[in-house]
Amino acid sequence: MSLSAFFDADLLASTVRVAAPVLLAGLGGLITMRAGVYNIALEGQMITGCFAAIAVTAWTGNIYLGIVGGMLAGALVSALLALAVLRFGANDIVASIAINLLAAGLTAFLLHAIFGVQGTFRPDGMVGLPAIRIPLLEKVPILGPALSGQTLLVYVAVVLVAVTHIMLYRTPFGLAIRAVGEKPDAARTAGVSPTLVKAVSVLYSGLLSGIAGAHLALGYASEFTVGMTAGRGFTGFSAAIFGQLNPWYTWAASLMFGLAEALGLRVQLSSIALPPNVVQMVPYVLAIVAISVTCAIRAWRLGAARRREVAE
Amino acid sequence: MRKTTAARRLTDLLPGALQGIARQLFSLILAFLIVAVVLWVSGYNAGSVFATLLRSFVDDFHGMLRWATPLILTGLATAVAFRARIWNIGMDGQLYIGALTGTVVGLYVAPHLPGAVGIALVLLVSALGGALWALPAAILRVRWGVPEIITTILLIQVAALLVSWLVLGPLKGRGALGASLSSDQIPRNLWLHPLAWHKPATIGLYVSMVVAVFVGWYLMRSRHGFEIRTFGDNRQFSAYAGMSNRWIFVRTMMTSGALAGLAGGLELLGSMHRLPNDFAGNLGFQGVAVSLVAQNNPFAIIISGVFFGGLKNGGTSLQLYTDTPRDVVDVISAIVILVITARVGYQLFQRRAPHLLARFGRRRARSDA
Repeated sequence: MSLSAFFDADLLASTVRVAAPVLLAGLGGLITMRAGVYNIALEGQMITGCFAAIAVTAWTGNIYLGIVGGMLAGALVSALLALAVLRFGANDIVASIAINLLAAGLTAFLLHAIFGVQGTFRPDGMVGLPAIRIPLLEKVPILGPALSGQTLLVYVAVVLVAVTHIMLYRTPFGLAIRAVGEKPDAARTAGVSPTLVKAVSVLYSGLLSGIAGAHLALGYASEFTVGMTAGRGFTGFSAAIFGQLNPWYTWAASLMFGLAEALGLRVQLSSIALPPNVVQMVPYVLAIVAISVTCAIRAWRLGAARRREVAE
Repeated sequence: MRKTTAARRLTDLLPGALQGIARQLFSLILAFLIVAVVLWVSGYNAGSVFATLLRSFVDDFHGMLRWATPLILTGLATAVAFRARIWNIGMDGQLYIGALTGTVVGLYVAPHLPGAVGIALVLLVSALGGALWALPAAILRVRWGVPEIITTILLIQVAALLVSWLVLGPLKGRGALGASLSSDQIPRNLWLHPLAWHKPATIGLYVSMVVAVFVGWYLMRSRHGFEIRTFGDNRQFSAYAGMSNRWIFVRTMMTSGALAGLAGGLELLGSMHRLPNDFAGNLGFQGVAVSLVAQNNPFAIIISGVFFGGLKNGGTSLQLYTDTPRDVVDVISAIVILVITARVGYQLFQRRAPHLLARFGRRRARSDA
């Protein structure tokens, strides 16, 4: 197999597709981190979104209601995190671990309780989200197939990059988020409630992770499988860090992780004799390398004095 | 900081050690009430579910101890790390790697050694494997400040995939074992002795308990333990006191990883006797619950480890007898963690109690625990 057959337009298209959940989680993680909440519950929010999207689609037969269901479920889980951390003063990391465990257990449990199956559920007559073809973009050489023919939620994810950017840098609320994260006391003095700002940003991350889950379940799998998010929430979190908490850079970072995943899928289907498990490791290892590079650069900029202490 | 609260006033009526226990029991009860609501809402009979769980505690004592063995160790791994406020949550990955390195030694080196030496070597190498798997996250943290929370979690996935690859490839078992995606069985003379004839619990439990006592001494009485606690309470203070924060971080992370790796080694020698592709779901995360219930106290972890072992084991009988998926055990662990870390019960209590209990209260100025 030649190299040109390996890197083709299809690869770009699938890169964009598999990058979307990572991007959505990353945007959510970015907003919460900006507000000073360490939200590693993205994974749990996402898997709940997957489950709810499939469940609502199965009940109503309407895939778009399924998307709404996924969003709301993600938001509900994030509300639980907000309640534990902001109302009851739980440690955000420990509470996030609990929520990830809860979401993983509860979705598996409810899968059995509601649909009576274990492992995987595929509603009868389930059809995934249709591809949207955009007439003009389709014609663009090379990039055409990647730009057009994606499902709705991929475009939603891209729009949300811009929305998140505008919210963060062009609205009073974005200013409040940045202020709360960097100088909570100053924000409080200015009459901003840090609790409220944090709560809204956690809910926003839940909403976005829920969309990510819906995309995962409806956009390309058309089913729910226990543990189907497979660490994408954590990869998204890494994308946010690697993207230096900037929406556009986070998009670039998630495309990089997406490319790694898409290449992995491609290798598995090809005749190249690489063990699939090793190829699947690449996005995770890449995520570790990416955040390490980000942190190393920051540490280098801050200088030797700062580096000597183990920072909080 | 003065924080005299009614809840504290009430618990002040009890002697010291009992106060903590009362508070944790209260949280546990609250957690189970929440679980009961969850079960009820999803159409299960919460009463019969809890009854089945309770019956399995009594009937299948050995099953409970079988699961307590790894859970005590992952609980200890959590306790050591969390006491230093180091967020090692990749215990599952360290456990996989511990089992993996143990398997390699068990298959290729230990058969040439006398039984007891072989067992000791496998366990040692398992602990070493777990410690080494925790090392990159620690180094990245002290070198460049890379958050260990996210690196340890990502390393779980890498470890799981590494085990899968080896089990499907180089370590693939011959015959039926290979077909069922696991390595060859390790030689029989390395298997840990069961506590009773044909029962699941093994002398591995004693190993866990001895390690718990050792970790108790290590955390409470040793110089390292003092450093861990100081570092956990105030990193600037430990640095000004002349301790090496970096070394404390790396050492504690590796200790935590070694404990998780040892859990993997005991799973291997005591229960699985081979390296399967997919095993020990969430023992690491459940260890967090074990440790939090025990308030990171190594001795109390023995008790809470046995309790959660009973829950995990009960999950199997739940599935058999009441058709309730065993995942409910993860749900219980998660809710227990949430309730305890948010101190929900404690805080609800605080708001209600002042009127009732004001006159019993003894005012005490104490810093918030």
